[in-house]
Amino acid sequence: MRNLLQLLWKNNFLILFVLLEILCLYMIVQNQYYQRAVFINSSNNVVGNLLSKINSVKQYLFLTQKNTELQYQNANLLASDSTSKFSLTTHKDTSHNKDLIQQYTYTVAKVINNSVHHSNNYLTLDKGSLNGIQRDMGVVGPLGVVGVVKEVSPHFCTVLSLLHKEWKINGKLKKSGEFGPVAWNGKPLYANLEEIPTSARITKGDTIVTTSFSTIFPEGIHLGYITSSKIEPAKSTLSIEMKLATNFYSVGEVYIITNRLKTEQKELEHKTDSTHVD
Amino acid sequence: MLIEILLIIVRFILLVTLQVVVLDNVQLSYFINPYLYVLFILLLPINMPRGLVLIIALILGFVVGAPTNTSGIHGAACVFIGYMRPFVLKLIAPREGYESDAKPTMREMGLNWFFSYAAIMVFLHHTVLFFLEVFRLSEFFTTIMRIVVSSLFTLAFIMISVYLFYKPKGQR
Repeated sequence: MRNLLQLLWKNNFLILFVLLEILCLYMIVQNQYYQRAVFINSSNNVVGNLLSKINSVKQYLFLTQKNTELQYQNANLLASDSTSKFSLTTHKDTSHNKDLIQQYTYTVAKVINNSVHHSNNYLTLDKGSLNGIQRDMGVVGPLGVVGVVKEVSPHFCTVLSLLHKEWKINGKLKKSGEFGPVAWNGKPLYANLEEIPTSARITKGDTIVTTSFSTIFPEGIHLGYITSSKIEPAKSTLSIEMKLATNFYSVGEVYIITNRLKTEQKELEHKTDSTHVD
Repeated sequence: MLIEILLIIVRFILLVTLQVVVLDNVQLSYFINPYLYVLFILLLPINMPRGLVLIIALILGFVVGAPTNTSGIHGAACVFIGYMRPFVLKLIAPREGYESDAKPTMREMGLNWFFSYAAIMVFLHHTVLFFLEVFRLSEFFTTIMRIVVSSLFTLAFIMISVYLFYKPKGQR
């Protein structure tokens, strides 16, 4: 026993090293598998406040580009407004509008931290549970999909960016409707759309949008634009590379999407699942 | 002695702030991420208790990684070079050994010694950091490329900052 203690004491440097490394590895694994920062993460208030200060300086650098993006979005919204539509019918249909209920609402948020060059990238936003933000809400920017909310603190939330290897979302070709999983391929600003049948007719520049299957995003939000495609010999499907719609280098103002009918849909699906008998 | 400790604390705050506020936001490309903060571990006194160096390295890594949710990765890389430091020092020791209160600075040890010291330590740090970040071996060569390029940039940053504060010997 005494020898053992002596041995331990003699190697205390090595033992301390191993212990500290195990602690670090434990933190990394926690982060990798549950995407949860255990001790310190950026939804933490102190760091969050510091980051929002840094960001207020950084914002000035991208003002022009931000303006253009917002103008683009404004133009789209104006175009879809009823005042910019021409009615072909001669009589007024008054009951029509009452048939619509609001499914998605949007909360404006500011990006206060962002990374592009890591293997897994996150964003931090300045809205949290006090603003009604919950996990798994979608986040979009003026130009397209940004990510999905992961962790929420009272004033901040962190977002899994599209530039994250563990995150997959369904996308479809806007023209013809073929769909498949979209995953980041490691290059900043590019992603792959997989499992598209070779019969699909695609051209460079075609738009890829979100599908209606997700409870996170409304249908038709831009994901990216096709840059190239190749045939996967093993599966005889197309693998399409696209340039992402959102410019992650300069994302600043985003919208967090609340789906008001999500619980209803999930509950119904859950019920169907559990009562299903083969 | 007190001034020494104060100097170390000031250096800590300065390097961490510079890293988090400026360098982490200058993302030149996927291949270039300079991590100047490593300089802090390089400049710790040679005779500092080795266990203490490990603990300080861990704290440094945690603080630098906190804003980007990479505390574990930075902590592991810092602790690793904290552990390797005595061996590196032994490897490149001058023929007559170190004086008891020697400081691992360019001023005391000369340019050649400091450069090889910094190069070895930065390379070790970046190797651990980038492989843990990727967490897989499938992108082995890309990762090696990132390690080499980023090491060169970090090393350049280190040499520039050391020269900025360089006072020739004999001037106090």
